[in-house]
Amino acid sequence: MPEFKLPDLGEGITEGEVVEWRVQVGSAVDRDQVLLVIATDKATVEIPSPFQGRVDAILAAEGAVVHVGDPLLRVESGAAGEQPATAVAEAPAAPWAAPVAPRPSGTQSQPSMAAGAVPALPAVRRAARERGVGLESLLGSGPGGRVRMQDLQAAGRRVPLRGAHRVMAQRMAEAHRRVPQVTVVLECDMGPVEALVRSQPADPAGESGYSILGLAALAAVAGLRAEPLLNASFDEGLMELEYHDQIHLGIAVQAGDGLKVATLRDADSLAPGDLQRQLGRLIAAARAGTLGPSELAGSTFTISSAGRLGGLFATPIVNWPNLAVLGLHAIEERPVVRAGQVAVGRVANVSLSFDHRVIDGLTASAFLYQLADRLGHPEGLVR
Amino acid sequence: MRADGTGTSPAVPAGAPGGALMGGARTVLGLGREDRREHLRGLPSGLAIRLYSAMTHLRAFDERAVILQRQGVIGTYPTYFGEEAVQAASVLALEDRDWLFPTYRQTAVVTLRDCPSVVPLLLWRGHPGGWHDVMRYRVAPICIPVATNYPHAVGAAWGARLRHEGWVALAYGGDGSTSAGDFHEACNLAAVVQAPVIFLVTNNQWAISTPIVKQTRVPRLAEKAAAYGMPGVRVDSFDVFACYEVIQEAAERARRGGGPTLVEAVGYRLGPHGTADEPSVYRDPRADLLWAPMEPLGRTEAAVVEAGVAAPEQLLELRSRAFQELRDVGDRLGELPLPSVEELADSVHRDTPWPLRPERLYEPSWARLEQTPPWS
Repeated sequence: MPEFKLPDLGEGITEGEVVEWRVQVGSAVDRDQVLLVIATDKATVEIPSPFQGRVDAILAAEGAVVHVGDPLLRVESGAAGEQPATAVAEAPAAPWAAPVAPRPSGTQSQPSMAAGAVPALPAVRRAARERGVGLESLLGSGPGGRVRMQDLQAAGRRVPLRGAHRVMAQRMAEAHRRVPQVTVVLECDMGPVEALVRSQPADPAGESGYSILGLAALAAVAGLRAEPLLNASFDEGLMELEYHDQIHLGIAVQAGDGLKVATLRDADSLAPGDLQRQLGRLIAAARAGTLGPSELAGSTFTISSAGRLGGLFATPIVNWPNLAVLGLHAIEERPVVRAGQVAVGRVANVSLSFDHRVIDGLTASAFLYQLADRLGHPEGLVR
Repeated sequence: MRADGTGTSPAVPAGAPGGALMGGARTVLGLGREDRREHLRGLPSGLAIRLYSAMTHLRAFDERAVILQRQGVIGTYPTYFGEEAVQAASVLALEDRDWLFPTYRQTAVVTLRDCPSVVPLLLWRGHPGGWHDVMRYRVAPICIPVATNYPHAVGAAWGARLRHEGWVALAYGGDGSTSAGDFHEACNLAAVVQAPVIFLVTNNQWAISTPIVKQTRVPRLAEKAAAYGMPGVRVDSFDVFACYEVIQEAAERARRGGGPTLVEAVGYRLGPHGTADEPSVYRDPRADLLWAPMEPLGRTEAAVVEAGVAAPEQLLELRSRAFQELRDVGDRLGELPLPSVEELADSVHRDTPWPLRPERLYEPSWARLEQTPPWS
């Protein structure tokens, strides 16, 4: 029975993620019919079938990361007298699927088993599938290495990261590994900003007007114009700074399917009202999962705002290859001293985490002080 | 996986992003209906069908190659989807004695000179059988480093002129190649010695992810010809009849001793740069939709039918024959054995040096180099 393995998709690609199957077990396939969609580091591609026949087994689940040479599916080419399709390893061949310990060698020589399939009862297979556990990752304690229910129960639950969650895991680790970062924090009087947001007349067209995040973005753009270094990136190999002519603001958005950084392109060439509208559209698209590829990459500076749940302060991680990230934290009533008198102020901490390889503390602090100053006079931002 | 050419109208689509970009580009399909018909009927007998047939073959080759790459039968492959018109015209507008100097995007043009399709497919399989017979087909080996084929073509063409052999050379390239030093040196020398050469630059606006506006401040590449003292012509790269005309004129001028021509075939890269490329990361997919109606095979077919030069059934027959042929070639390809490591250094040196002899290839290279050669 022909088995189709993940081909070498070129230019050093060693693995890919199964995005979508276009065929199911039992469906008839024609030659050149698209079997599945694979996303590699370079491109998302459709894989056409080299065979004609009926799909006997799908050997890699959607969301699984498969390596070049890993089997993807088995096709029954319709020869008579062939074994009926038995239960096969439908569990995801996840990247962590290497056996935790070598399986007894007898497993492989069981004549009744398809090569590579792990022996287990159907009920165990189903339970494994539901719990997201690859049978290959288990050491079977039954005869001939058979995986039993208690083996499964001892294994704990493993859930492969997908999509935005996976991107977050990779990018955060990358940023943390590469960038020695320092965070400066400042208290900022948000009263004027809140007053401006409140004072806007309700728009009959349903437009919501300036938001606190929008005003902060405008203040950040003004600050980045004054200090282009914070909008640059750093080429470690060449020891060169690359200054960017445009300001593409990355906006960290917590969506249902994970943390995303939506890119507000050419923020410096937008009129304040347009910037606010674009921002609203991007955040909505990020939450709806409809951002295009160009809106998920290419930022030159990032803003992270957790709103009311922003905490006293945090140390957002620099969104490498950006050099700095602005953090907006929760606005709270706190005692403030004005002209020698204690008063109640609406205060938030704002932070700037920056790449200390190329940005010094003075530059970062100056940016933050100017930002606080601009937020203190927000009417200047929307003119 | 994609349309095999069933356009409905031969004319330049109403919504096509022509305008300034296509400005001054020679067109036949863009003529009025009557003029277009007259043009096609005035062509030498059978030429329109031969051009269509060549384009069909190129499309079938390209589609099959992409499928074979996705199935792991061949390696990375640079598709030329959308460039069938300019490539077919480039071969048919020349004589068989003229030389072609292709890049990695024109590996199939040799098949229009009757080289079997399996040969260039084997090349992408990393198989030595992929080297076509250069002297027989008068098609140089492909050059992968961008623009390096231009000086080769100039040297060859200059030789032809000195020996009064009467043939011309045509070198292919893309918009990105015009930024390379080799392009400048080749154009300059070609004009100085009046080499019978055609620089056929397909300006598809994208050098992988670099758009033309970041490539040059001269939006019309043909204008660069003036700086070298040679004619520069623009032509719609999706228009096989216009490309044929322009290239034939350039070849005739070269043959008469009129020297080189820079032909800028302008259009848009309808597909990705290659099988490992994802254009949606760096360009707006909406632009692809705007340009899609310019797809050349469907428009050529519609024009040929409109002019009454061929019946739709005849074209369908040509098309299905080409696609079936390439499917069969693809089947055979996967069955051919891969070369052994011992053949790695074959055909590289006349006398294979000692460290590269077959029996030594399995040893790590440092071991080969540190051992004392047997003759010392």
